[in-house]
Amino acid sequence: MRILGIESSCDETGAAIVEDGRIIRANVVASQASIHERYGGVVPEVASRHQLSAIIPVLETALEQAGTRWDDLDAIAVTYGPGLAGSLLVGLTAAKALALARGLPLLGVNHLEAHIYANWLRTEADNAAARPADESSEDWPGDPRFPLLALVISGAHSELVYIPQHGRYELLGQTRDDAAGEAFDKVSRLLGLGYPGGPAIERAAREAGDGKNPYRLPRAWIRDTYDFSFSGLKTAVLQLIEGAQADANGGGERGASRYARKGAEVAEGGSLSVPHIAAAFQEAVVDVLATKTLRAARELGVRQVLLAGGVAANLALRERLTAALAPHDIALRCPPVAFCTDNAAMIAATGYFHLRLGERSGFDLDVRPNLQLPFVVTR
Amino acid sequence: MVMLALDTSTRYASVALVRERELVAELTWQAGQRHSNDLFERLNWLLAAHHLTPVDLTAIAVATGPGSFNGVRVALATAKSLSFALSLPLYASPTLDIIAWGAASAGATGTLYALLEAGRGQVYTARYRSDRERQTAEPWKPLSGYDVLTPGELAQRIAAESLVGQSEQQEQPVFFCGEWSPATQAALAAGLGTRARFAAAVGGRRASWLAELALQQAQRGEVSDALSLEPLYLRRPAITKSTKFALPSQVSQISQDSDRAGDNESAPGGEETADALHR
Ligand SMILES: [Zn+2]
Repeated sequence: MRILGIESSCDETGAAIVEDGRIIRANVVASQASIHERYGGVVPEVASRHQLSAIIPVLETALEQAGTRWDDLDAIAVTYGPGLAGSLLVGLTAAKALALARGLPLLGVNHLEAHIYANWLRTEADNAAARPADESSEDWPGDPRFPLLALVISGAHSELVYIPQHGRYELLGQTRDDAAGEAFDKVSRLLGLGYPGGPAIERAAREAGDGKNPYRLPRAWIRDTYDFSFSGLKTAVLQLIEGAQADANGGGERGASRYARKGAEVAEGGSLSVPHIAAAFQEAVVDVLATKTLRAARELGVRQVLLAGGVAANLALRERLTAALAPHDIALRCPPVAFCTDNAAMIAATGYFHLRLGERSGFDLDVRPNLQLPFVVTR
Repeated sequence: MVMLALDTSTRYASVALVRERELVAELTWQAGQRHSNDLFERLNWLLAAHHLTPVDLTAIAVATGPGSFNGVRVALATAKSLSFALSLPLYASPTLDIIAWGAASAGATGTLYALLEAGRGQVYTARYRSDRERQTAEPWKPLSGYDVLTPGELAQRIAAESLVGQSEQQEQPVFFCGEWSPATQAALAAGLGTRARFAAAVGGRRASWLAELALQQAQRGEVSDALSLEPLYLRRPAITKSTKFALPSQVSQISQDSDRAGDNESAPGGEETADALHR
């Protein structure tokens, strides 16, 4: 079964063709990251305009790459939220028009769920052997095995989710303030490392090397819950920088404008080491995430943990989680780095599993900028 | 030839089916800001009601704006995708051209101004000349370009243009067609007095007007490219920033109260008002 996936939730325009929810026949992404970089964030109207410009060329490239004709497709899956309304609207409208034109079923896909389903995607090399003998089988060798625990971490999300079966999500814990990716971005700016913050901090932290780090930042454990908090960490970094500057200047600076000079001053190499602060920050985030994930995995008795979302590309987090889980015989699974960031292959994969559950969307499907995972309340 | 024409540039949406040179069906409705929701169910119904399927279509016509940014994008995303998926020629007309063509077809003569509200106290406008012996072999285009300005500025410009012309031209009526607010009408009337004539209409644009322009384009062989066709925005995007987190380059978020597409959009011609999204 071949599904065309379309992703346009933010500043990336994606189209992909995925077979049986796992095998990637084409995956095309047009990114606007370089355009938005100078604004320090994605500007909605700019993003919407680029989405409209990119959508047809991206679709055409994906169909060509896969050598697919319209008649070979079985459905069209598209992100309908969360994301920017104007950006989402371009992809959703295009998907409806394609579904209408070619008489194909339409499937609205939750972008957050799709980040989880990126774990079902596989690269060309391990396809053939993986196919089950029984073609109608739900599970393929190598698929993630339910029940699962997923750590969903991105610029807007930090959630620990229990998944007993396809399409069922139980929320264990979530951030009480900043999302993990958001904390990375904010601290990256404080340190003058630029945007997006995740890769920037990871790069800087690597420069610190393996030696002893002179800085140690506090962890917000929030006992007896799987919830997270990252805003205190950002404040701690700020205080560290301000403390050093107060020492250097023989007194503190006043006023909001001090923020503007902060990054530049730190980067110019005062008494602080940017790589070491970056490493201390990353370590503090990863420490909390790994500890809580391990505790939840053991409590629920899951054998596999899925990592999902843009921050899942962070290698320090992957290594630390793998190391924390391995002694307890729990495997960490994460999508290839290319499928951690926004892409349409994960949308097509999610559409496939929903189609198998007998679902499809109507033409009145609307964009949902604030869509959440469809949590069932159990605890 | 079976042409589908669609226009969702403003709070009005309209779709028309034209077979050979004859209107088969047309639907015009107030879509508000739910352009994408209603459009496809109605398209589906319109085709089925006339025993047609999408593969029977042979041409697509689309209104390219100016207007509501999201509204215009819905029309273009739809038209481009239909054209792409069905390999159909695509014909594009600016929304102001369609408005003026409709008024001219209804018998308005002389100088016509097509108007649409642009938000922020401004209007989108273009000037047309309607003559009885109008040549349909020539493209239907404004005399000068497309503008965005305040109604007061428009009235001043019209008055100045009349002064350099013949003296009797100063008394000639100026005909306004399109969509506007009472404040816009008041400002134009204040600047132009009794010369200002406003189309007494219940409002809306008919997709069959767009189809007529498309048929003319088809005759002249003016096809648009689905890959590269762009809307006529007439306005650069405003760079919005959140003040939630006071850093030099602020991290911003989608506002919490905007769980629907339309809610993010301001008045006609408006763009998304949500702040920059944190990736
Ligand atoms: Zn994402």
